[in-house]
Amino acid sequence: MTAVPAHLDRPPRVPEAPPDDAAVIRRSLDEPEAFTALYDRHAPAIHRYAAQRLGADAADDLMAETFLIAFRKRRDYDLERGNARPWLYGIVTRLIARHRRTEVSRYRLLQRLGGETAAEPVESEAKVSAQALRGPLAQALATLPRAYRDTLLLVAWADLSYEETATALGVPVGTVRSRLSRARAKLRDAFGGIDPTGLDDEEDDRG
Amino acid sequence: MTVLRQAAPEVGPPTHEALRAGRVRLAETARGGWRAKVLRRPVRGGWRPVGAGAVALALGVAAALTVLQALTPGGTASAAAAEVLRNAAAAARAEAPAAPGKFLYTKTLTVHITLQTGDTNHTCSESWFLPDGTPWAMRTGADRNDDRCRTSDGPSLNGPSSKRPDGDGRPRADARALPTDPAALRERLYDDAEHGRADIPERRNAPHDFLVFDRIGRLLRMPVPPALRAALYETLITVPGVDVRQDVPDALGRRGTALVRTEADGWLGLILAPRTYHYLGSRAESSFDESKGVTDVYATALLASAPVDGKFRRP
Repeated sequence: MTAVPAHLDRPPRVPEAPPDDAAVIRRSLDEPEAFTALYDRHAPAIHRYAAQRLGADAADDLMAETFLIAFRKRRDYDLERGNARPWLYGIVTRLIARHRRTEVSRYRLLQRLGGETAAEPVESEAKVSAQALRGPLAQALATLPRAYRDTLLLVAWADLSYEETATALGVPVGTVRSRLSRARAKLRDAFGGIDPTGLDDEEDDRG
Repeated sequence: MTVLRQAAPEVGPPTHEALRAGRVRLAETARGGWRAKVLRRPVRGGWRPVGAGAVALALGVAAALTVLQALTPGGTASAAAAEVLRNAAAAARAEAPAAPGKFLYTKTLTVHITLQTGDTNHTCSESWFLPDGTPWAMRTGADRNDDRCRTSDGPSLNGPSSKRPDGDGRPRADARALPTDPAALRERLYDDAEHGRADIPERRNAPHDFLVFDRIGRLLRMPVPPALRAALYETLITVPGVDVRQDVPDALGRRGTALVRTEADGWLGLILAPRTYHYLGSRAESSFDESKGVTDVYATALLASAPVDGKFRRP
C-alpha cells in the first residue's frame, strides 16, 4: 500500500455554488415554483453523495425527498447564507441516518468486492492507491460511529469545508475538528498506522 | 483527503428519469397543481340541509376513489411522511386509554361539494363506542344552516354491531379484533385486502396499498384505543405511496398536516393537527371527468371525541 501525497492528482474542488441560492429561496416564498431552480442546481450532487453512501436506487428517492423537505422548511432557511449546499447536505445526511443498516451493509458488500472493483483504467498513482484502499476503507467506514462517518464523508465525499460541515450538521466547527480527529485515529488503526485522509496536508486550506 | 475521496464507491450520475421524477414531485408540491384551486374554496359557505346520510357520503368517497394506478412511486411512505407518522404514533401512545365502563363519544361532520353545480351537502353523525373500539350506537342527521350539528331527527343505531358507525358499512372491521403489533397489523390489513374482507365489494380490484390506506383512514376516524391508533400510524409508514401535504383543510376549515395517497382520479388525505398530531379529519378530491379536473370534494371533521358515562350521552 502506497501512501500518496495529498497534493498529487487532487481533483478540482467543486466550485462554490453561486451565492444566489438565498435569492432563489427568498423568491420561492412568494413564487413556490421558483424553488425548482435550487433542485436544478444541486440535485445531481446530492444524488451522487447519497448514491456513494447508499447506492443508486436509494439515492433516487433521497434526492427527491431532500428537496421536498427543503421546500417545506424553506421559511426557516437563514437567508444570510448565500450557499444552500450545507443546508441541503444536512438534510440528506439526516435522511441517510434512517438507512444506517443499509449503509453499513453496503460498506460490508464493498469491502468484499473491494479488490475486484479495479477493472476501470488506472490513470494515476493516486487511483492505484485509492482502489487498493477501497475494501479496507469500506470495512473501516462500516465500523465508524455515525457522527464520525457523517462528518468525515461530508468533508471527503461532499467536499464541504469544515465550516460548511458544521452548518450541515448543526454543530460547532470545533466539534467537526474533533470528530475528524477521532475518525482519523480509527482509520489509521484500520490501515495499520497509515492515515488515508491526508488531513495534515489539507487542513489549513479547508478549515 | 484525496485518496479517501478517490476510494469512494464509483457511482454514476442520476438518470434522466430519476432527475425528472424528482423535479416533477417538487414542482407538483410547489404548485399545488389543480388541487390548489379547490383547496382555496371556502368550505363553509352556503351550507344547507340535505337528506343524504353519512352512509351515502362515505360510500361516495369510496366510489370516487375507485382506483387505479398509483401515481406516487416508492416502496414505503416517503421519509417526510414517516417522520410525521412516527410523531403521531408517539403522541397516540402517550394518551391514556378510556376507563372501563365509559363510552367513547364522537361527533363528525361530513361535507360533499359538487364543484360543477356548487351544491354542498353537510351531514353530521354522533357515535358511541366501547373503550375497546366496539361500535355501539350512532345517530346521523343533516347539518343546519346555523352550523350546529343536530342528529336528533336522523336515524339511529342502537346496540353492538359488526358494522362500524362511520358510514362505510364494512363487516368484520371491529377495532377490538385488530392486533396492536404494527407488523401483525400490517399483515392482517393486507390479508384482508387480498381476500376482499372488510372492504366494500365493488372496490375489491383496487390496489391493496390503497385499500389498506383507506381502511386505516376509516379506523382513525374512530376512537380506537391508543395502542391500536399508534400501530395504525406505524403501519402507514410501510404503505407505499403515502406522502405529506401541508395546510390541508378539513370539513370545518381547520388546516393541518395531511398524509396523502394520490391515485389516478384524485387523492385522499388524513389530516392531523400540526403540533399535537391529533386526528382532525379527512379530505378527498376526485375527478369523475378527466377533462374537468376535480369534480367532487369530500371532507370530514372530527368535531368532538370524549369519554361519556353512557350511550346517547354527550360530553
